[in-house]
This record gives sequence, C-alpha cells and structure tokens, in this order.
Amino acid sequence: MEGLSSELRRGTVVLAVLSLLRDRQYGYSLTQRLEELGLSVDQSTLYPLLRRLEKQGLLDSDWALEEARPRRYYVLSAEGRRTLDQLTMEWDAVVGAMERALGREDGRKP
Amino acid sequence: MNDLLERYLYDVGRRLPARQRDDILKELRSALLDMLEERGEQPTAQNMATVLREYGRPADVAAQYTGERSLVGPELLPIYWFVLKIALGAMALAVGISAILSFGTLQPTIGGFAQLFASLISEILSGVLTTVGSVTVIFAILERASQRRNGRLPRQDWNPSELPPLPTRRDEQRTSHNVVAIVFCVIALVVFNQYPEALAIYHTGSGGLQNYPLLSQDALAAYLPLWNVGWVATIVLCAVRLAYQKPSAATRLADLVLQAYGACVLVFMLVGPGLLGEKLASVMQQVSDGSSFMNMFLTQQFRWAIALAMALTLWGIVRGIVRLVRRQA
Repeated sequence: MEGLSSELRRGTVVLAVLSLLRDRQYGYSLTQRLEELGLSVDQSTLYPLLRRLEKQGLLDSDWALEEARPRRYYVLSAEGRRTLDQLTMEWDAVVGAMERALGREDGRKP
Repeated sequence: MNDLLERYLYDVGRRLPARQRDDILKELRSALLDMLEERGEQPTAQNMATVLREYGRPADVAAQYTGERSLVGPELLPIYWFVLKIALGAMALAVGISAILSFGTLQPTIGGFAQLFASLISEILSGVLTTVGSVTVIFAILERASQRRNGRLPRQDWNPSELPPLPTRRDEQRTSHNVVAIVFCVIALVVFNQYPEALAIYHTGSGGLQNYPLLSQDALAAYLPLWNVGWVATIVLCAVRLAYQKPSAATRLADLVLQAYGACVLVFMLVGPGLLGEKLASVMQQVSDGSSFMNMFLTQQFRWAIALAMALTLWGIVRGIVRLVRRQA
C-alpha cells in the first residue's frame, strides 16, 4: 500500500514545487511550505529534485551568502513558468478525468 | 557534533561525481544545520545523530543525486575502487616480474634499452585497459543483480556513529608515496636485472664507442640478489598498504623489518666488493695522476655514503620501534 501511495504522490510533487517556486525560496523553507499545505516530501528527495529541475532549465538558482549560513535560493525561470501553466492545464484535465473514473462527477457518490 | 556532520558529508561526497560534489555538499551541510536548528535544542552530537539518521544512509542520499541507474551504484562504488586498486597493483607487479624473467634478444645498447622500455610501457598500457575493463564489467553485473529498485534500497535503520572517520592529509600523502615507491622499484628491478650495462658512461674514443659500467661485476654479483629481494619486498608491502589504506600494526612491523633488512644489506656493502666499475676506476686513476683525494676516493669509493645511509636507516628503525611501542602502550 505504501508503495502505491507514494507512487501516487510522486507524480504531483513536481507540480507543487514549480507552483510554490513562483516565490524565491531555499530548499528548507520550501519543505516547510509543502508541509503546511499537507504535501510532505522527503528532504533527501527534494534537493536532488531541485537540482534536476534547474538542470532542465525550469528553475534559476543563486547562492545567498549574507545569511546565517550559505543558502541556495531557487525561483521559477521563464521556461519554468511556461511549463507550470502547461502542467496546470494537464492537471485540471486529469482531475476531471479521475473524478469521472471514480464515478464522483457532479458530486455523486459511486 | 561537527565531526559527525563532516564524516557524514564525506561519506556522501565520495559517492558523488567529483564535479558536482562541492556544490551538493555545501547545500546539504546548510540544510542539515537548518534541520538541527529547527529542533530548537542544543546542537549536540546526539541531536545531530538523530537528524542524520532521519535524513538517510549516505549511500541512499547519494543515490538520489546520481540518478536511477549508474553502472556501479553508490553502495558498491567504494568497494569497486578498492578492488580496482588492488587489481592494478597486482597487474603492475606481474608486468614487472615478467620483464625480469623474459630473456630478450635485445642488444645491450641505448637503442635496445629504449626498445625494452617502449615494450614495457605498451604492456602496462594494455594491462591497465584489461584490468579496468574486467573489474568494471564484474561490478556492473553485480549492480544489476543487486536489490536496487529505482536506485534505492528498501529503507533501513542505520547508526550514524558507525560512520568511518575522516581521512587525513597524511593518508593522501601515504597513497602517493606508496605508488611512487612501487613505480621506482619496478623500474629498478627491470633496469638492474635486464640491462646493467645501461648503467654506464659511454665515450667515443680512439677505439670506437667505449662502455664504462658504473658498477663493478663483483658488486653486481654480490649485491644484486639482495637488492632484488628488497625491491620485491617493497613492492609487496606498498601494494598491501595501498589496498588497506590505513596502516596497521602488521604493516608498520613489516616496514621495520624491511628497514632492518636494508641496514643489513648496507653493512654487507660496507665490507663487500667496491661499487665502482673496474674500467671506470682504472680510467679515473690514470686521469687523476696520483692526487691524494682521488686515491682516497678510489679506495674508499662510496663507503662513506653507505655508512651514512646505514646511520640514517638505523635512526629510522629506532624511531619506528619507539613509535610502535608507544602505540601499543
């Protein structure tokens, strides 16, 4: 069950991260934001994910050295913004389809 | 607390590709310290251990960065390097020994010597390629066969205090010392055994190209077997030290024994046949025309140097013994 559950979530994390990074943040603050929204992500998963997204050109990052300790800040890039819009549309489509698949459209129970 | 953190970061870092390592570790260090701070408690080793345990085993953490599939995964990578080092050491030894044992038909001239060297280089090159290739293929197969699914092992509990200690600058120096020693010993073995005549001064005189060996025949006959044993023993000891990386009581003891052996050989050289080649000695005698310094040099040859070397070796042995005893105490 845990495997299936995490498989379900894994697909949604990227969309959540992209959406939250419309505001410039560093890894740890991002974790906390996700936690507040009820989307807990393993920290050891998040940092590699951020690197990957940056490599794909969806994020811009820079080091902030003036704080208590050096922190790497991430923010959505222009291409990231375009991708976010696209993925959001796909998400809406998927949600609609899933509601129909679960037989719950129009608020009806299956 | 800092020690634990640094050991953790080192263990993660050594499984990461070198180019990204510093950047990743910088971010990771910052994140872990943030996590520690957020707990609100004192930054003790105990709390750091808890944070690290939750974060995950170094191999798993590294695996997340290197992607789902690498030829040799983070779990196996350190073992892979270890085995590769031993295999390369053994291959180097084999090439060195085969070079000694092969009875070539090459001329004892500069040209023949160069040819031997060229073939030695090409043998080493092909040996390296074969060794690296075989070991890599074996480990790639092991990686495929392992439990890894999607690049991670099933979650397990682990103990941060079991993290290995940080390597020191001395460890890195030791590695390069050992490698250099092996290379020199192999070269010495090949040169002195296959081409002692190459160790000579060449001079084109009235009688054509003359060859003045630096070492006398008697000296070579008497000392070369002893030197060979010393060189081979050094190669073996250095190979073992490279394989195990951290020195142990056994390797320290072996080192002392080797030094003691060296001292005995030096004693033997002190009283044995003189080192200087006969032809060279006679030429020097003619040229010197009876000067006292030259006479003294010709009779004493290098004995003063040998005596000095012996004194240094004995000093080294004494220091080594003292250190060994102090360590056991």
